[in-house]
Amino acid sequence: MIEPAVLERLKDIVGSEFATDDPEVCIAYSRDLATYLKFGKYRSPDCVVLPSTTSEVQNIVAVARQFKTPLIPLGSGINVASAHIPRKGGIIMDLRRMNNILEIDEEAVTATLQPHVTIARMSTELQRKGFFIPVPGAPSTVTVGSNYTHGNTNKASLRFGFQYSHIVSVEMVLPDGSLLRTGSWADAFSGDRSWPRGPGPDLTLLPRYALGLHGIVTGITIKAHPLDDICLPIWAAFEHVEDATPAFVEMVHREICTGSSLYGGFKYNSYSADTAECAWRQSRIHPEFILALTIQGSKRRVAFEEKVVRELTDKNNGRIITDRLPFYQMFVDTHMAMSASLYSEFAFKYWASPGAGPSFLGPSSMDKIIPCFKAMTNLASEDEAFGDVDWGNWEFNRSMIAYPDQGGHFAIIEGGIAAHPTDPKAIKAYKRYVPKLIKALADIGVSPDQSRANTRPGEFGISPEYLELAEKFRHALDEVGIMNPGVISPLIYR
Amino acid sequence: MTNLDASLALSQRLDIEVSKERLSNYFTTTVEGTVSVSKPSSLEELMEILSENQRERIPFIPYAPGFEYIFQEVDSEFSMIVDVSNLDRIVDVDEDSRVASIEPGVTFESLQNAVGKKGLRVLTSVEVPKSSSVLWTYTELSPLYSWPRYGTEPVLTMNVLLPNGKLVKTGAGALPNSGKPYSPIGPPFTLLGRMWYGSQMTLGLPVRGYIKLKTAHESNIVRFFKFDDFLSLSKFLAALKRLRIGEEILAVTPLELGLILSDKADKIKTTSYPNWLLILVMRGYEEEVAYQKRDLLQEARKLGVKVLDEIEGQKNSAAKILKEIQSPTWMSRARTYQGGRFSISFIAEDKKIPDLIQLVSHLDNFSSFVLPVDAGRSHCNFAFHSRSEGRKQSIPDELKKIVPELIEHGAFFSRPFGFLSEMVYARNKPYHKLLKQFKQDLDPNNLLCRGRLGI
Repeated sequence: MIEPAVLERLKDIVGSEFATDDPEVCIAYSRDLATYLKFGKYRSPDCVVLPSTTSEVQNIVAVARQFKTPLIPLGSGINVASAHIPRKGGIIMDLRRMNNILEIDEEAVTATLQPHVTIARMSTELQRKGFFIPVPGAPSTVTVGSNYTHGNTNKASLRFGFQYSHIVSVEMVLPDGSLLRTGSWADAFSGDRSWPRGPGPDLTLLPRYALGLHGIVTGITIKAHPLDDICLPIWAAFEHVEDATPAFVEMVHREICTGSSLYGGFKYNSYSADTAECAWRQSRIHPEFILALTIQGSKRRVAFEEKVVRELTDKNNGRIITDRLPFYQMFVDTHMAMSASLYSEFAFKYWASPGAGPSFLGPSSMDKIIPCFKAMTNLASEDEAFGDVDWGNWEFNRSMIAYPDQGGHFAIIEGGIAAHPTDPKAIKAYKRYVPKLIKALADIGVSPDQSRANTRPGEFGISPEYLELAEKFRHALDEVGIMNPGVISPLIYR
Repeated sequence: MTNLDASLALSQRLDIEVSKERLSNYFTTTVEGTVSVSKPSSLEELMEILSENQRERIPFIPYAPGFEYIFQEVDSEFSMIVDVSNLDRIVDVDEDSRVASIEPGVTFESLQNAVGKKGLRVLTSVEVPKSSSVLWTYTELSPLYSWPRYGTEPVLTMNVLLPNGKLVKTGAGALPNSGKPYSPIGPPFTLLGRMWYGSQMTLGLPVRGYIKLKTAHESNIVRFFKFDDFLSLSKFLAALKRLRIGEEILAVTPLELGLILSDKADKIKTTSYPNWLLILVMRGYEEEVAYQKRDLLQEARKLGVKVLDEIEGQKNSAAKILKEIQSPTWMSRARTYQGGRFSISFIAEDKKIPDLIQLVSHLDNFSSFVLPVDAGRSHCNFAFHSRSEGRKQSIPDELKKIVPELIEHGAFFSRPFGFLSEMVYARNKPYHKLLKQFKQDLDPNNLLCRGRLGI
């Protein structure tokens, strides 16, 4: 229940049509793909407000602060952490009206935009001018603001690094209502937004993985890249992880290819199939491991890199599938166009799993790919449900992706056993399986990244010193505790 | 007891190496004075010093080898220097991941020697010599020759010692089960992994860093390009960036080139050098470099730029460049050339650089190097040399007058040292306010680098 005075003030700020406590509207903001699985019930905000300018955002923050009302910013709303679902009621600030591309700087190859510009729209506008941004590990409807501050992987991380490294500068409304700009944008008079560092200590990643606790992003400048002369998808297939991984590692260390991911089993099927049944059928006939690669550059660069890819594939008992079977082109298209289409419905359901669910996401090193995969599959094969060939069928439902950082100094490894997350048998199996998996991963030196709402302390969690410092800063920024309370963990909210 | 005596007594009580040294051993300043210097030989000793400093309220500044090149002025109130030179362990070199785990006392020279044996190389800095700390040079964002190719993040994760003596590990390091804590992605609040960059040691001390290493390739080729003005150079640069050619790219004026190529600062000849020389290094497997050479030649022809294997009239110039990048010595010569060097560094859009040069070119022996960092923007270093004692005193004052104009014309001082801090933060008040807030949280007694950055 929102105080009438709060709602009145919000209406004064944005206009009466853009602030409401109507339950029929609020209920639409009470869930996402994982809400029910996570909480067992929907959680509704007390009211919803839709600002259209930075100053409106500042004024709304001031109202929330004055009345000590929880305030939850909503960007895309497409995540599996239920990040924008109110834990303690309050105001949802839906940023969808802030959807303008403010500038595309063709010399600096950057774009400055409001937070609710979608990846699809941004990509389209950039491509019109001869630039591109990497395809993120997210659907095209995700917004740039959400994805760059909270998304992780992209399909070109080997060449460009992960999403966070594309943030050049941000404009944020802090929990006290003041406006902060970072990087060269921090200079109130110059208008230059092209440099991400400083001035002095680097605060550009203040909103990164903060789920709104540090403030609300109202503008962001991102790095784009010039389109290359040639873009060649070339995919290699392997039957064994022991063959695929050395080929992959050597390609990564040689710093060739733009897109470079190692896919195991079910993952790429779930992306391209329309139904679970279809994905499962595909899993039975498709190669066990695929290196999904794209080579971009000048004609000579592409020729050279293609030659290396073919040599390394051959050396490690693999085969290039994209030039043997046109059939595989559908995967390439799905993969390449992931940002211009939607993930299949099944992929959404697959991802919308409860808590840590069937998948893990671990920051790791390239030499952990094989041990991770083996730990995951061995445990699944031993599980009474996943190991049941008539139900869990781990052999076909196991999956993994490894994304390398620039140069392969580290990698993000994600994996899981596919099953429908609403199936009670699956839920039971995951509850049994995931703790065992986390322990097995710890034994080989891999820890789940805990970057989102599933953060936990303790033996398999985050160090207490880190959490203490995080809490200190959060408290310094938001003494009143209005920003998205309860979203991260019981340790980091009051 | 004075603070100086208190700090000496503290180090002696803790049984940590301590000495009274001349201030000028730690700064290039002309300010005379004596200071107490503690030299811990382990992390535990360093933690102990910081805890005791807090207890006894002793303001201090940290020092690592090469910091005299970064902090040229005494810009902090302190009674103790904590010199981490003895924390010089190369803890591990992971050849699979091409990552080294190092302490702050490890120098470029020692690390380069250690990893060279394993077929790897260290990314080196343009502004500091090989005797400098790798980790603190990186975290202070001193520009690296590799910035054009690999960007500004050579440190993956680090362990940071807070002013209160507590240790915080960043990125995957904050996850206790990470066997190889290399990923900067990991726990929430990525800020905690990033804010130490460019902090000038005001917020905490990186005491362990996991840093990127690169492959020492079999084929390393240098090419040179002459230009009459920076604008023509920048057009060519844009083409190179698009083709993604060049591990290292650097543009220099004649004096800087002379300083790079000469063995001694007093034997510099610059008369035959072009106004601007672009230096480009390609590295890779033989076949890889071969196609890049062909791409480069084709692009140069298209733009009417001549490709040179060596600098005209300068034998072995390509080899000298490679040696300098591998093992930098240039800046130690530059520091003594004509008795001293005053320099300022900033980021600017390439198109604005000619105007910025115009503003300072009248100053004594102006010279510059420009590192093209990303599309359309570069790191610039403007330097001035003078033999005259009078000019040495007056150049800094003249710079103080010119800097506001440089800022107005597009210079962004991302590393606002010394007198620049006040000017820069006057234009960034909310940013400065937040920094002060974080500083207050981390160092409530304001003992670490007191006064630096105005926080």
